[in-house]
Amino acid sequence: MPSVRFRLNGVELDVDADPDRSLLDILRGQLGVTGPHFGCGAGECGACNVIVGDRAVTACDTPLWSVADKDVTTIEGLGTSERPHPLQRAFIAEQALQCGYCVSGILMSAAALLRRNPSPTSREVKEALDRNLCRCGSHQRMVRAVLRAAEEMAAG
Amino acid sequence: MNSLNILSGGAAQGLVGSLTQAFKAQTGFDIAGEFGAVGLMADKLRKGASADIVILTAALLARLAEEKLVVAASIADVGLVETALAVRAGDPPVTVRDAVGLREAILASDAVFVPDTKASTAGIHVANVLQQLGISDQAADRLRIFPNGATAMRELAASDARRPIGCTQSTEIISTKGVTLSGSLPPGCELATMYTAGITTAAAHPQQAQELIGLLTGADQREQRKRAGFVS
Repeated sequence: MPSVRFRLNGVELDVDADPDRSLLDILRGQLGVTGPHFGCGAGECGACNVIVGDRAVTACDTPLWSVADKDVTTIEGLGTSERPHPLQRAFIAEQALQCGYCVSGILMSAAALLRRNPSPTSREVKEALDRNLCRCGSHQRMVRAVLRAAEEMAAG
Repeated sequence: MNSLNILSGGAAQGLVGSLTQAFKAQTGFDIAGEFGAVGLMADKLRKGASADIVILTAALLARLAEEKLVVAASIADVGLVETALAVRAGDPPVTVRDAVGLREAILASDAVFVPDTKASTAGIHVANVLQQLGISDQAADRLRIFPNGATAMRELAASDARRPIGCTQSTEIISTKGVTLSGSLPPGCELATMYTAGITTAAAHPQQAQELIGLLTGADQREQRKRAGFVS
C-alpha cells in the first residue's frame, strides 16, 4: 500500500492508504479525526472544510495524494476547550450556531480568510463563506462573529 | 516519452520553458500543451481538453476548483506578474510616469500591440485602461490585437510601424526576442496579477504534475522566477 506523508495539525504523519481515497475518509476513518463533518459528499456544502496550506478546501472531494507534504489543519488544530480560537469565542459570543453541524467547516473557511486577510470587510467575509451552507440560517450571526474575531485578533 | 499536459496563461510560458530540462531530469517526462489567453485556456479545460496541470490567474483557478475541474488542495501560488509596456529592440524606451504620460504615449504611437482584449488578463486590462483614459475610440484604429501576448510581442518585434509600442504581461515581453521591456504601467493604471498552478481532477499524471508545481514554486527557483519576470 502506498504511503502519503503530510502534517496534520502540526504533527507529521505517514498514512498507508490508496492515494485516491478522499481526505475526509482518511481523517474520519483511519485517523479518527471527526471534526470535519460529512455533509453532501460532493464538495458543495463545506461541512467537511479543512485548511490545506492556507486555503480552505472541501475534504470530501480532496484526494489524499493532493495533500502530500502539505499542512492540513482541521477544527481540532484550531483551538481547544481550554484555549479556544478567537473565532470559536466569537461564535459563542454571537450565538452564531444552532444545530452546529456546519460550524466546523465554516470556522475553517473563516480561519483561512483571516490568515490571508486579517481585517476583512463584511462583504469579504460573505464571499469567503459563500460556499458554506447552513440549513439553520445563522449566516448573519456568523458574519458578525467573524468580524468580531478579526477585531479581537487585531487588538492582540 | 511520456508528456505532462499543460494548459497555461502565456505569462508562465517563459518560466515553464526554463524549467523543462530540470523537470525532464527529475521525472523523465516532457512538457506538452498550450499557452494562451487565460480565459481561452480555462474554456478549453471546461470543454474537455486533456490536461494534467493548469497555470492561470488565481481568480480563474479558484473558479475552476469550484467547478470541480481542478483539485483545490493542489493549488499553489507561482508569483505576481505585472502588466508592462514594450518597445521594439533598438527603439527608444517609452517612459511613462503617470496616466497623462501613458495617454500621450499611446496617442503618439501608430500601432499598439496587445493580446486578446476579451479573454487575456493583459488585454482586458488594456481595454479598461483605454476607457479610463478616455481614448478607447481614438486608440481603436491603432490597436493590433492578437490571440495571446507572445504572438502580440512577436508581431511587435516584426512590425514596420513608425513608432509601435506593446502592452502585455512582463514575462511575455522578457521571453520574446526582438522586444524590450519598457517599464511598468503608471500608478492608477498598473496591474499585478497572481498566477497559480493547480492539478486537474482528470489528471493522468498527478504525481508528475505535483513535481512540476514544486519546481514552479520552490524556493530554489526564486531567481529563475525573477529572471522570467515574476515580481514575487
